[in-house]
Amino acid sequence: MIGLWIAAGFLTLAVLALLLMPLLRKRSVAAPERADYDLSVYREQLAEIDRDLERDLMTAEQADAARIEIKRRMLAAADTRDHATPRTASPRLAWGSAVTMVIAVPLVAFALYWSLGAPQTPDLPWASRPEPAAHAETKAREGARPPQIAEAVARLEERLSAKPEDRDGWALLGRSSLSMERYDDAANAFQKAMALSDENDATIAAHYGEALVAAADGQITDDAREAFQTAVNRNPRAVKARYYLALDAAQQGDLRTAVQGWTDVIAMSPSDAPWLPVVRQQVQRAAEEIGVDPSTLTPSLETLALAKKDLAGPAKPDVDQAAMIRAMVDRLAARLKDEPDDRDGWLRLARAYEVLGETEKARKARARAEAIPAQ
Amino acid sequence: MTVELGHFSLVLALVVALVQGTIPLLGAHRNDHDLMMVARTAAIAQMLLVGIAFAALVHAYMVSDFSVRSVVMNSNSLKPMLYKISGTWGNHEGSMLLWVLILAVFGGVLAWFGGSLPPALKARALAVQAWLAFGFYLFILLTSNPFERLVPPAVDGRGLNPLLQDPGLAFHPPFLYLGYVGFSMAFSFAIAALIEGRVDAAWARWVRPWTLVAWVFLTIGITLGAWWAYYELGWGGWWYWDPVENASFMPWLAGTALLHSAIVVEKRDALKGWTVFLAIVTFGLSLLGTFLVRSGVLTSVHAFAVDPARGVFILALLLIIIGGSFALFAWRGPSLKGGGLFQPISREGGLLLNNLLLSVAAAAVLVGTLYPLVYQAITDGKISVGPPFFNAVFVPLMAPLLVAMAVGPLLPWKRGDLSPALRRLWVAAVAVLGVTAVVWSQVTDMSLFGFLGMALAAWLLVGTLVELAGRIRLFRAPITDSLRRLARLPRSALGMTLAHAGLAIAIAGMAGAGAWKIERIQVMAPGDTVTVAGFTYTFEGAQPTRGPNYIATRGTFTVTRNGKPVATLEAEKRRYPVEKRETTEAAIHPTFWGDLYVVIGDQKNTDGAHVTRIYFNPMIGWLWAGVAVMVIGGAVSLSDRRHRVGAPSRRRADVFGGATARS
Repeated sequence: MIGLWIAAGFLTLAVLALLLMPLLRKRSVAAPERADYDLSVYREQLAEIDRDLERDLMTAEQADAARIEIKRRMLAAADTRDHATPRTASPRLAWGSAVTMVIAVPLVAFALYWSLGAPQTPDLPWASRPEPAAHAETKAREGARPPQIAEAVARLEERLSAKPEDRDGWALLGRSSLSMERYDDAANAFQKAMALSDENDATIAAHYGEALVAAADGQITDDAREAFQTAVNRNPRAVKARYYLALDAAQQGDLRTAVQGWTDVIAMSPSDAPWLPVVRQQVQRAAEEIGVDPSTLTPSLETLALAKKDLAGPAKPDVDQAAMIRAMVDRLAARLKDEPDDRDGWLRLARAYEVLGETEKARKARARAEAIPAQ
Repeated sequence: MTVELGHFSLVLALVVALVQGTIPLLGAHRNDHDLMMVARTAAIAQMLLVGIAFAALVHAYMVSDFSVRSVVMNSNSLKPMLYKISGTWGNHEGSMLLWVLILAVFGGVLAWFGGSLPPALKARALAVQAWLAFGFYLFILLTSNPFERLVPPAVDGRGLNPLLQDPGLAFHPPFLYLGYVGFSMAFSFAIAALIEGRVDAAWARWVRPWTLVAWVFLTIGITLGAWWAYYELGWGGWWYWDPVENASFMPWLAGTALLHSAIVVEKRDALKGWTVFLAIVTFGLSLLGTFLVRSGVLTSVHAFAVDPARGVFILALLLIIIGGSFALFAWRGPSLKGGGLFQPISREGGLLLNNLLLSVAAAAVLVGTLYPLVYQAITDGKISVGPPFFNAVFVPLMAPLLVAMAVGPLLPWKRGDLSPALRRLWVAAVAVLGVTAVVWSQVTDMSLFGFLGMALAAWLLVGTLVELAGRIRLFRAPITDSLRRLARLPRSALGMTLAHAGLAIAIAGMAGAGAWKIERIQVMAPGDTVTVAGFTYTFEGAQPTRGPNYIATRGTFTVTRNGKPVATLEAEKRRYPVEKRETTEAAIHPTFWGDLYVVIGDQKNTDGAHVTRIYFNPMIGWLWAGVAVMVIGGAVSLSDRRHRVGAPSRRRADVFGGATARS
């Protein structure tokens, strides 16, 4: 950055030197009058007529007529010289201009650059990119370096045009396109994959919806909503699809449904899922918007039923079972009030609350557990 | 650092443009030589600064610096180096930077070599250039900044339209811009003349070469575009009256008129006001061309609204520049008094007729191009004005122009007589009859357009040669004498002959390819043959093949004529997977009388049969050759010694020659 300022400073100085040169050097004493310029053109034209005449390109009469015309113009030009505006050279004006330039040129240039430029951003040529950084960056994008992705995609497309019934191929193409930010292509590929997928594949439907959303700059289009709904119908635990459906509700202005949807997403996600912080933040913000205390939020009965199924094997979801789980949790909470030193108990309660999506309570329970030293 | 230094350099250029636009004007007003000279150094500083900025951007493209937004959007680390470089100006931001670079270079050249110009005129012209530059710098920096950074940087760039990955198109925009911006010189001189209220003798001497430079570049640029359309789009056509093409053709028509009217100003001190007006119109149309292509307004009026800041800014710039100069012209124009008088039938009269027809043609193209936009803006409906309109308007305008073009150079200045000139053209008339007869015997379908074109081409070509023969006394003096005369002919005269003859050749090409093009579309299995215009094409089959960044189907054809082999043609259909685009690479075998042109299409079924399109484009090569001759003519004319008037020494001129006295 220092290098930039030094270079910019030198550039400015050089430019100022150029601009000031005519003002600061010795006054030019004798310069031709304006009419002299016209006269030199006319003289040249006369010489041209001589040349043309010599080469037989004109007859003598033509040349004479042309000469008379040019000489008439020369007379007129010589005439104007006698009442030409007098030449002025005001040292005060020259100095004034010079001082103004010395102050204003750097000031305006640096001020404008300061507001437009990014002086602290270094150059980043492709060749100089540190391998590990590029690697880390691309790892998040399907684990290959981008040129290789592009090449792999090209090969994949070639293969798919020969064998268009390869569902996994289309899904891979979709994911690669997604990571290369070619959303329309991704949506196309996922759509093909979806057409080939069986009735239970929720992942591809969710991916398809996600690609549609990305292609529409984050707006959830009707097609995308349909895709997410399909995903949830195929697998109720498709958290990605549920997340987007909640986002859709939020975009429609129905924050209550959105908050409920996200709370369910939290309840269904593993406690170390990478997306949880984001979703929690969303819940926090939306809850504040509608004036609800986030700690009072509970997952929907449907979610609880699903959670129950996870705990106790396949069973029909019903209200009683949800109530049973809640009762169990409440009992545990009550017991821990009496035996606050039970570290494992608190951890269990935290997990239970997490399952139920009661994040605030889960956080508190976990804090209590961590406050007790492990034996 | 290079990127940011380039950015800073561009900002500094804007500040220097402010200096160049004010202090020299003040100096010219007060006749203060020192203040006027600031224009000179400021113009050179601007040239250096924009040069640094442009070099920094090209560097960012060459090293694939994906922390620069413009590089991310328009380049890719896998692209061949040539297209990385040409990608610099293959997009909006970079092309605007190229625009101001060319403007700054022209300004710098004027500052450096303009010693023979009156200082006040030069200072004012450079100040006008500076205001133009200022407007464009502001536009670039505020709405289309190529130095905008991307934090965090992108992993790789988004590539470039594969259609644009082509040498023809890589150099098409720079030439167009050299043409457009070249006309800014004539414009700046015109505005300076209006400010001063006088047109000097030196004025025309300067305006003409600059216009000629711009004209030569614009001619090359337009032809590169047409040539690219011819071999890349795969339809065998080369001009579609597409708005983008029209946008460059309008300034060409007006510039051609300007080129001719400037001769009258120089030789006869007449048509001054008209020439100044044409200079403004020509540059206005150049700006309009830049604007139409760059704002996206051509695809849809509504595309304009997608990026209103950009569109409104450039529209405002256009209104200020064009509206302001017309207002200035209305105010000061009447003070530009002409000197020389002339009769309607004279060299001047011929040039005026040329101006009239070219201006009307430019106006017709303007109407045809803008009408759909206006219509869409008002009624929200879409219409297109296509080739039928342009052909209906253009042919009746061009036919008399071409007829008169052979006559005009034979007329003397001031007052002339038509009959001796026409008598000298009897050879041309014979040539017209001969060509018509030959064409009649050769073609099967009678196209009025084709006959008219061929007849006019013959008339113009022979007429031009008659004029040249007269000048060098061919057949009336010994041949060595004629050759000596030819060598000593003024370059401008020679340039005129070449340019007119080149146009004649090009017209023949246009007429031939337009009227008698043959097209055959069919499905061919390997081994099938088709005969087009006497050439027999055998399809040898198609194989998949790979390029650096595309996959392709390559079809091979062998061509025979009367059993004798003529050529083996390989046409490709390329697919660029990253960009999801397909391009056709037509196989072209040029011959003197026409091009054999083959395009391969989709596969039809599993046995290797493909859709193929086979064309015979008669005389198309004449078009390219004719334009090349025109361009050479322009260059020859540029080298005329007239354009090398030296700076005057300070001496009292003795008007009628003879002794000079130092004062």
